[in-house]
Amino acid sequence: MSSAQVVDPSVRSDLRTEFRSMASDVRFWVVRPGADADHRVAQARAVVERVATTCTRFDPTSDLMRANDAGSRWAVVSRECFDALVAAHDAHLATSGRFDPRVLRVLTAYGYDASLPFETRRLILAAPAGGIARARGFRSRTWRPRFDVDRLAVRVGREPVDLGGIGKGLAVRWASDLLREAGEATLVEAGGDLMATGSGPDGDGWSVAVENPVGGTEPVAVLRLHDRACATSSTRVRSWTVGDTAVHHLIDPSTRRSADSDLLSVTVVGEDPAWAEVWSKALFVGGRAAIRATAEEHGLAALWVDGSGRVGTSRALRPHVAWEVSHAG
Amino acid sequence: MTDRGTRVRWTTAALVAPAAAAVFTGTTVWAADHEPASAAATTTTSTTSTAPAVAAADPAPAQPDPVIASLQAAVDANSVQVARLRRTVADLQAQAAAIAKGIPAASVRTSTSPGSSRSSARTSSTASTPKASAPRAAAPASRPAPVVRSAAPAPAPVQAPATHTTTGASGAVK
Repeated sequence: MSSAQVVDPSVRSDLRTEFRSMASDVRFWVVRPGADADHRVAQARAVVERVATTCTRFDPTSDLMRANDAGSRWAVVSRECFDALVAAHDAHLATSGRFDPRVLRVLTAYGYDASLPFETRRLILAAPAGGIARARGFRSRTWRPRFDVDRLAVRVGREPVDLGGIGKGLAVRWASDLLREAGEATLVEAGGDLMATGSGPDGDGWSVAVENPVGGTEPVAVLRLHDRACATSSTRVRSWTVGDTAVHHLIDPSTRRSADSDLLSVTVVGEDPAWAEVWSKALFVGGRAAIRATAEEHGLAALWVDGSGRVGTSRALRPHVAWEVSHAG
Repeated sequence: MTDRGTRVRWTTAALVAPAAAAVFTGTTVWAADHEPASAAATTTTSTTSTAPAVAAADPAPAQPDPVIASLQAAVDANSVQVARLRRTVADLQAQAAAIAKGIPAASVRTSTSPGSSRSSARTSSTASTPKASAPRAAAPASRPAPVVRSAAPAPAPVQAPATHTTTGASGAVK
């Protein structure tokens, strides 16, 4: 008998795909893929591209921008855009308004009406002629869009909406749903949001480093995830200066300005990437004083880094922590 | 000779006496302003003043003493790790016992085996509506305790383990 190792030809090496979409790097990782994995990867990529195309605010002809233009009139949109607007409304209600997609005018006033080169690190835009003004006539009432599910029609209202964050979370959710059966374990990630299914490449979960918003290559924690989503809201990259005003992309709906938060980043682990994204943003806007109470109240697994570089965690996060930065002493 | 010697002595005395008086006065004033134990007292004060600064990051209403709270947090965090390791040991012992009985290790379901967590989460993640899949609390720890770490200044005693990916700022190029 031969002593040569027998290799099962049906076992394929991991399938990994990477592409750029939604102004982020998107990655798929399928562990021990099945026979139809390539087809599923193609489907998952297609859904991400559809979300990017239909929910972008940078293209005036996108479904989202057509709905924004229609305002209080009905606009028929794609399934992805419709579901994203419904999800955004649910998130608005669930967070008692702390998540509010009606921030498009603020971002536009900040000059963020196109993809900006944040990688230049010190991005300075000229202030608009009239200065940075708050959107006039906006009253911070509960958002009440209208939905016609039969026609896939929406009425977003007079204040235009931005689906940036939640759109990315939904794209990750839908892509992950399509990829789930493609292999023994899968990872879908897009710009800080991710969904990890199965037990990872080594069978002991997916190890996810939580970036240090202060900088450096050392993470503040390493999470071990099994069938869990994770999202981070941080100002590390998308911060810039308009005239002489420092701004970032996380807008406080109550002030209609960049959130004056004493937090640098918030990471939330949950069952769904869109909800993790929503809560990471809502917790960030709420600031350090409220974050622990809010996280405990809603049973959120959250980790945050404050302006002093200190790291805090909620109780629900601890089972997911595989490693964390040491005490200061 | 006598007159000259007397004049020299008087001149010297006139110079030395005020200087001696000045040195004596200065020493007396300095001694009055400085207590022998003041250095130790300063150290004590600075030590106690750092403790509230740590606790102020996340005040724990149920624990008035911030030092105890901080220590308790460390105890809690380590307890969770100890419990996790005990569970792992128990699982490995179960697998070893199964192997000894001739049962394949892969068929032994343990609390940390991949299949158990996967199947339970699969059920919950099939919900399509956002509300149905809203995040829920994981298994709660024994008691709430503040956890405060430092991200920037203090290097970790042990290097972070290798990871599969990173969560962080959106748009960051990895």
